[in-house]
Amino acid sequence: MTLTRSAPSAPVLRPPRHRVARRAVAWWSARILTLTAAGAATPALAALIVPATGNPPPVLAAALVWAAAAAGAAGLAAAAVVPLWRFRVHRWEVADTAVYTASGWLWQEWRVAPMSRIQTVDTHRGPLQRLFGLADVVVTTASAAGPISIVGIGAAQAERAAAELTEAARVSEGDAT
Amino acid sequence: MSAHAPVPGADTDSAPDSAPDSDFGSGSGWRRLSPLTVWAWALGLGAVAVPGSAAGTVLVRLGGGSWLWVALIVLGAAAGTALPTAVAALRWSRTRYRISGRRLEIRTGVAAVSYRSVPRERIRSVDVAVPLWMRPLGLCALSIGTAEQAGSGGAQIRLSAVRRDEGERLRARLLLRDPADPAQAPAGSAGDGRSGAGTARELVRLRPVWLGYAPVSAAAPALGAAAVGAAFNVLSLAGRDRADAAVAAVYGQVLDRPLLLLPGVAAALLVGAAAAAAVQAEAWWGYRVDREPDGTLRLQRGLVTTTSLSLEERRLRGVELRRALPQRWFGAARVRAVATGLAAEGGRGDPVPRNALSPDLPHRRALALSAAVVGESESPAAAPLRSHPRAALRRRVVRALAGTAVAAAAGAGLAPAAQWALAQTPAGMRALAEADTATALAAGASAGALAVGPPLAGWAVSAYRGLGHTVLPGYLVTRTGAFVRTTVALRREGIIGWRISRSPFQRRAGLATVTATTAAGPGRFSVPDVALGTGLRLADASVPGLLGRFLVRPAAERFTGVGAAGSGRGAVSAGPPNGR
Repeated sequence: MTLTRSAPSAPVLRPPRHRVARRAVAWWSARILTLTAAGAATPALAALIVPATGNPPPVLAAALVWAAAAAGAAGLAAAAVVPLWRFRVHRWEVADTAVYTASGWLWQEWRVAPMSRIQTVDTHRGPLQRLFGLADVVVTTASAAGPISIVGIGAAQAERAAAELTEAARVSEGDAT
Repeated sequence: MSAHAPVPGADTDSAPDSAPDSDFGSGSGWRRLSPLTVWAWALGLGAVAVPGSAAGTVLVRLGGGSWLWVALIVLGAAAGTALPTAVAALRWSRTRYRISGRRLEIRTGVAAVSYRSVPRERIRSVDVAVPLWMRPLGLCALSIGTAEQAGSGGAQIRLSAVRRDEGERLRARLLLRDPADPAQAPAGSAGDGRSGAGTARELVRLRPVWLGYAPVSAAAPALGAAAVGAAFNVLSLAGRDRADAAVAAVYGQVLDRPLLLLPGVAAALLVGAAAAAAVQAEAWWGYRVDREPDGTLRLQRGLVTTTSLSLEERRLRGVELRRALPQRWFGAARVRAVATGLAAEGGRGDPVPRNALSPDLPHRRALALSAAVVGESESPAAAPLRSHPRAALRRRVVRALAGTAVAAAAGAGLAPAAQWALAQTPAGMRALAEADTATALAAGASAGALAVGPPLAGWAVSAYRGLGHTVLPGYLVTRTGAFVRTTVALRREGIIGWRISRSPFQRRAGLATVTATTAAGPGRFSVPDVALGTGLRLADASVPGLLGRFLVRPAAERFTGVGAAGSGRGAVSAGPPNGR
């Protein structure tokens, strides 16, 4: 997805070197579908229950059915589009002096933090992520502006990246502010 | 709860608080807070309870009540005095602190015992406050800001109360590093060569004239409205019905003669202005900023509650200049510090944010102060800034138009209601109401748009004109804001990362929001809606070597040099590195 408005004189931010794991697409889809199921099931259940409670206005039942259908359709559409889109955007790189990530899909974000300012490195694996053998690496700095996350890479790769980052953070001196 | 705890130690002068300072900083010197706080509680509550119960006794006896009631009142007053005092005493007896080597340790807690140990080098600021009630007792309260606190809010360490001289000693002791202590700040940061011996140097001192800016601050109308509300509350003490009647009478008068509203509003504004001036005077009386010989900035202020904030210069990451709209008209500005461990929240009930370095000052003086604070001859906040591309203005105008459209739609939606309301009014208006619905809708829409459109358009232009950025040797300067225009000069060594974010609309317009993350202040300072290429160059120039290794410079730039390329249109390509 190369944007065409680039003037010849402007510098360009090259994408980070590594893509996230291919399995992340399945994971993102699964996550969206789970949410969709929950979001559509609520009005659908209500549509089943409401008629049993006596004499509801027919508009209400219809509205509930439509709401369930809309939520389901929106979720399915998102599950078809968003994960692939994310996969194309999300990237990461641990260079010798900095960690660099790209994330988002509509709202995209590129983050850089120098190794010398890293304070903590965590790996995080949710239940759904474990199912797909994925992990996140979360790098925090002294800034309150939020950590840098490498989302959805293979678990073994995450371990290696975390070890590398931890070593780099350990070597640097000072309190990294 | 066990019986009253204040007895042991509370009245003995051999309490560690008054012990000589011999083993301070070494081994086992645990110290207590001042026992006077317990006495202050007892005296304060007693001062209310004794006359209260006496008056109660007299009233009950006059009213023919039995002695049982008197006993109950006296018992209640005694319990109301004793219990809080006992809690205060218990808390006092369970609180200890010491400075041992490089750590400040505090044990406290009655039910849940807590122990905190803070490395002294993580202490960033020390706040010494003397509220009115502590003044005759010679006490003060300390609040200590640490590095962890940045952004996380809460977790401030408080020591309340210690003797005044002890507070001063702690302040100096907590901020003064051992000479052997290796500097933790990045190289070239503030404080180099400044922490020698010598005397404090005054940077600025209050001129009472400056308090004259207070009435034109945004606080004045708010305080005026509050005064009106308070007046109504006082009125309703005389009875709900009377208050309602008075309000109805005023309302009737205003309906009859709408011009009466003008002096009324003027009076409310006057009261608000006076209140704002009073608040400002209370907060900033005796204001001065000194550069202490131990490498700290010290701000003192306050009329009733005197406050002294000490800020380690080594932790200063820049300075912020704020100009709110009414102040801008009168040429005023205020200065804030950008420092690690110093969040913007005010203290308890303090109207002044903790990082405030000045009240409203004349702009020129604010610039001079900001320059002095960061130790430069000229304020980085005064540097000429590059404006942002027209696309940024377009975005703001589009937002304003969208806001206007929403207002117009809402107006049109309200038009039938207005039509109905008009139909209820006397004959003259009814003709209006009988106009057909389409006209009413159009009228409503245009009224909504008219009401909201011009201010939003003004906001859009002002917000665009507020945008600016530049890179100075040593500083990244950004300016944002329409109503409150904020210029931040951030030390470039204080930048600990970058974020470049782009919304779909920004990508279409070739813009990006470039954000420098830092450990100081709110943790991030943004350059919104800058041309992508310009923004990337800005980030690269601010922290050489960080973002640069991820930039691909087109061949043209390598020949013409960085500064020459001005179009600034660029793209972040999400394809493979060579896939443009």
